[in-house]
Amino acid sequence: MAVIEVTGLTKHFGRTVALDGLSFSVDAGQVCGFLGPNGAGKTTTLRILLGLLEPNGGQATVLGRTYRELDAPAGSVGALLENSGFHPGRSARNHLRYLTTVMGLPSGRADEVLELVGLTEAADRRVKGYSMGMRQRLGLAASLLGDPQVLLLDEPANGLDPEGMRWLRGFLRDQATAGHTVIISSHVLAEVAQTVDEVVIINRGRFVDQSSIAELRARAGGSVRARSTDAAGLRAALRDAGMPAKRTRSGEVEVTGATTEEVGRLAAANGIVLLELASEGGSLEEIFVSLTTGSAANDGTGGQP
Amino acid sequence: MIRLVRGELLKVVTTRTVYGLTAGAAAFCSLAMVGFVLAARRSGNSFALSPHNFAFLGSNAIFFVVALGVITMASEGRHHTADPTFLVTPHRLRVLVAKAVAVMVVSIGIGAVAEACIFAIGLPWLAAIGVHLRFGGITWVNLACQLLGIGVAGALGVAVGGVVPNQVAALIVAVAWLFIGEGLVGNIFLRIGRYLVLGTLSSFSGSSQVLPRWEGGLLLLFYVLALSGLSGWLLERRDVT
Repeated sequence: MAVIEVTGLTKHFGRTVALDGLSFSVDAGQVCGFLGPNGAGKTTTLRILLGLLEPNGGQATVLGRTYRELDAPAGSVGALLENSGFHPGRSARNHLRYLTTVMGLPSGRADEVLELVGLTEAADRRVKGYSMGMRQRLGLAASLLGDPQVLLLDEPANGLDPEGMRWLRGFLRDQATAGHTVIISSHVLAEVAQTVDEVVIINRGRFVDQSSIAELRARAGGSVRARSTDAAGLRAALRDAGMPAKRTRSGEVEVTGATTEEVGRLAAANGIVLLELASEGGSLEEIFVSLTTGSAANDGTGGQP
Repeated sequence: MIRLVRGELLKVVTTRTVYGLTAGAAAFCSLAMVGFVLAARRSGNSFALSPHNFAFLGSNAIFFVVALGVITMASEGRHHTADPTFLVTPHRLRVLVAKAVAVMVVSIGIGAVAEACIFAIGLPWLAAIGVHLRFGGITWVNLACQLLGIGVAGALGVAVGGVVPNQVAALIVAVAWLFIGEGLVGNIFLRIGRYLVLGTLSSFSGSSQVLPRWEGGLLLLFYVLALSGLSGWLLERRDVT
């Protein structure tokens, strides 16, 4: 069942065409990367999905309805938007208390999500003293308040340091494990490749591609190399799983059309020890660039002003 | 709706703005009282020092509560807090109403604090110079209406902030209109002044009888409803970018 349904979405800002008949859908339980170069129309699409922008044409629904029609919108859909703000003079706890009050949640829920994102100690500090990464964490905390089924995250990695990025990946994996549908927008494919099940790629406000990471990798001829104490066993296990593999001269196993995660999980499931696991060739970034050559930001035909 | 109003009240009281404006209103009204008493003594016009004229000095808080209303609404755009606000309550008209009610309640509080300062400073001072004001029943009715009028003026500020989303521009428009615009229009078109915001507040609180109290109150309410209607119409149609 499609949780997100975007059909023929069109949005103009004056003479600028931000979205031009965009259509795609995302199924329940998927972690989906929403990708495109700067100005492709990602933020505009998410803002329309959330009822903050009115489209000039088409429709965008979440859980089968427009955002405004949802019975408990913030309880069903959590959102982290780029440029979304907090009053600089208000503390993180008070910002979340406002949301829990309006949503009818116990005020203790604010403390729970603050702990979840690691902001408990800074909860009573005014937001103007927060770093960019802390603001991102606070935004994520706000999006989680209602324990929503769907999360829409617009460039969530912005401003995060390497430690924050690692935390974010773990956080997203936890959300996926919990069965939530997550859409993560980004203009850097590599940033989300380790986390998402599939990607929707747009450019100049138009649909470009929707594929799983493995499909993209296979299309580009990329492969995964594994070094194991039992290369033959690994090849057999991969073959049984529909991922034909070959043995290289150096004794490693090379498989195309699979992700490192898939190979790693398969090896673990079969009790095969892996000494090394790496993806090679046909980088996702190259595929992404080839799909979106001639970005909207460069020719000024797309994006929100 | 009650949850939304409680949330908006929480928003108002969890920033320093409201405390600064309360202090400003108390200081401004107290200074106005000092100036008023000194002017009355210098001119020897003891009639001017009536209980009602003394109490009406608290109406100067209107400038501060209108500013509070404007900031409460327009700061949503300035600090990009409109996103979480409208995500949790997508029906924007409800947000406008909740903000108006919250600011009205807080504005009445600001008016009361300003009035309390005037009484706390002014009454002992006047007693020391031999002026003893006696407050009768009608003065308290006037004072209650004045506080209610100040509350409604706060809601008017919210509406202005909704119509003019740029906070600085909205503040300039609102305060310049009250400080300068209404005075100019009232001086040029003598009959019109009584129908403007300050004129209606004055009539509603019984300070002037150019309009009956109920007419002043209704006209003030009309301004709030009309401007709020326009603000709500614009809010529902405006993109939140």
